[in-house]
Amino acid sequence: MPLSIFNSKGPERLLLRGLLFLVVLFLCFFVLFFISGLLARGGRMGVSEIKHKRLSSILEPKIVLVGGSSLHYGMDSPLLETLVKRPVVNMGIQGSIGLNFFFAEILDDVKEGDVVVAALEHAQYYGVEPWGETALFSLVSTRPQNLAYLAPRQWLKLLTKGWVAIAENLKAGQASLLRKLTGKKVFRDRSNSWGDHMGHKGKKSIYKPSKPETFPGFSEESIQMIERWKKAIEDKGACVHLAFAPIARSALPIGFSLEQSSVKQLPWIGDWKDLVYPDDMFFDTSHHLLFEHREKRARLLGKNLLNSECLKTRLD
Amino acid sequence: MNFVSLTFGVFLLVVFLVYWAIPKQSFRLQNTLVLIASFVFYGFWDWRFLGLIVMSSVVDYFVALQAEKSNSTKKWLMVSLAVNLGTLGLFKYFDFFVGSLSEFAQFVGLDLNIRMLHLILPVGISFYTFQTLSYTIDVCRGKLKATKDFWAFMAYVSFFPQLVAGPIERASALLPQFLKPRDFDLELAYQGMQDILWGLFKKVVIADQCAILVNQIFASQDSSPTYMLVLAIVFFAFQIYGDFSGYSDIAIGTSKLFGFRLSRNFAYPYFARDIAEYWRRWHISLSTWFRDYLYIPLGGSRTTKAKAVRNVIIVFVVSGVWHGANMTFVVWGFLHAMLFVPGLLRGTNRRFVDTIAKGRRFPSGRECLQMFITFTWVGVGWILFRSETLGDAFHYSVLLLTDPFEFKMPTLAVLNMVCLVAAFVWVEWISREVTNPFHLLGKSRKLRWVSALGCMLWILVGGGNNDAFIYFQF
Repeated sequence: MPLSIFNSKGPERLLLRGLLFLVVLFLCFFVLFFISGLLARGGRMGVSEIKHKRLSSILEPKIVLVGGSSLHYGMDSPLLETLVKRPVVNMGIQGSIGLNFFFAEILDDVKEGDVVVAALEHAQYYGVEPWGETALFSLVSTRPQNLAYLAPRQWLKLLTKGWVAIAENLKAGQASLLRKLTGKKVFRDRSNSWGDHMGHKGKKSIYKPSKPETFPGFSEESIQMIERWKKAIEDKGACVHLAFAPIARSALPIGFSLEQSSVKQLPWIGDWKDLVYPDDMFFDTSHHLLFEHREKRARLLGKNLLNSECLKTRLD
Repeated sequence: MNFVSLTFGVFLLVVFLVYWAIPKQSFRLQNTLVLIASFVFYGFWDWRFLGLIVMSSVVDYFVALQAEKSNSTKKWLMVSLAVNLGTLGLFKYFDFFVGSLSEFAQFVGLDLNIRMLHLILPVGISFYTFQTLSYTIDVCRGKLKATKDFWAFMAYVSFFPQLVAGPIERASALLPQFLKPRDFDLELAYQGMQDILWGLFKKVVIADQCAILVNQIFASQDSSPTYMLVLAIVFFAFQIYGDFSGYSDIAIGTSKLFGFRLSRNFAYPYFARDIAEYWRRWHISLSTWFRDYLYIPLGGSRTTKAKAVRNVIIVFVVSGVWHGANMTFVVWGFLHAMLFVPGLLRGTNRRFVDTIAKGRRFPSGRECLQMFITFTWVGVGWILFRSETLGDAFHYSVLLLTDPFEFKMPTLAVLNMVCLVAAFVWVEWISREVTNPFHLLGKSRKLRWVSALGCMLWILVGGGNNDAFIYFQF
């Protein structure tokens, strides 16, 4: 006798078909997720491939820059390379990809003698995922190997929030297609082989200052995550430094300081005050430098790196 | 609890499982479950206002029983009207009337200094108040027998699928369904799932995506080119249609899962050829409510022309006020009355009662023009509906009429939305003779699966922005 809690067979049949529908739906999700990722490869997330190609191809000790879009837009890696006399890879794409992924994606290619400089966006010190995971999932879809770098909790989120990433991918794919049709370069092709964005060369500032927010304090979760990754990288014989992203004077959080004891212990290089620049040095946001000001930041980082314990020890 | 949420999905599944596990003969137990579920559903918004639903239900239950026994039904009807409309007035209109009175007093040099109450508007109060009123009025008119089953009546008033935003279900149609056993009908359940899916599509893909652009354009109206201002109205038309008809479809579909049939609330209103047809197709449950309980008692159209015009104005203005305590809604109602009156005077308001272009693939040129003119007038009304004040609506209209035409390349998002709305209109057009596009597919299992999957994928991919339903505020 069939076991059923229902007063007729109908509800059971409906539920079973509903369940089957869900299974098929999630299969479709993964197919669509990676297809949309392929379409989005010409967009911002497609830059990841260029960066990884360089990261894995350098065999000698290198400088790996980790961070968000302030690195992507605001670093002159070739210049930095000549200053510190080491190959440089700029891994920065977008802050909303998240702290965990920044470190996870480089770990396999970090080797003994490497120096990892994490020049994180301000907001990333205040919370682990201050902007959600859409950009992260978009990035993952453009390069399926990236699935390996997701934290366990991000896997579950992938099933619920990954849909938004598909939408973003489709938009990015559409924008790339339109640019190609009109004979313009797609976003991905506006990067040099170091991973620096070159698309804002010759462009004027369109940054509109907004009111600064109050400094929320450093997030202990962020600090703990940085500490964990620092240890993992050091276990591979590499070294980690922390730096700040440049920030427009008007956007600096009110009351910002490094007074928190757990923050002081972090391996900082340079003074954060040196990276607070006038508003007119920024391109479109409070942390994307104008093309011509990338040099200033690269020189400052070069100087700080040459003076850093990490590089000094390695150079010795 | 929002229909477009995982919480509602889990809630629906649990209620469904328990509901159909109850033996068919114990339909009263199922009613009790529906009642508990409805209270839980409503309690997710604000449990404090559950008392209002209970009060309204208790009053109308006893009033109807007493009215049936009594010789003076009017007296009992007045009790119901006083309690229901009094509550609605207190929560929804008190501040509006006091504010308007104070402004008027100030205008004539008086200082009334009446304090406003600033009460929170209970979700769905306009809907369930009208629903319970319809029951009492029908009983008092002798059109319906008062029910003695209190729990069935309570379940009817607070039935969760349509509790907060309709359709406003007449007791004569829904209450009898609570008074007899319900069989699980697999085909009806499939239809219900299709209704839910299509409703979600309209809400999430059409309405919520239109909302993003509408909000952007309305916020930057002073610097937007004229054609964008026009587009914003078109998008708002589809936003509010997708939002409200989407909710109705989900409500109808959810009800079918429990073996209940609700009445149709929208019948492709934007294909209407005149304003009278529009009102036979838009928010049908409210239009027919006003027709049966206000317009006809006032004398309807079977009176002198002057009185008929007066009746139309009253009905439309009251309908406007029903939507919200704001002068914009009053003027919106009045505008529709003015659009309705010419047809009334010419006796042409019932010339379009059939489906447009029935049996044909495309409409005629004349029909296209009629639809365009009707949609344009409806769009003018939507400016009032979308604006917070009459001044805002006036400002928008002035910009629309006085700005020199200037063409700036629209953003990709705008172009996408234009294509999406056009595709949506096409789907609605080919489905105009059925209630839901899925019904065009017949019983082909493959087609059903593919279309349902496609629709669901689109909902999930296109649903980044989850706004509350607009009609909750009414």
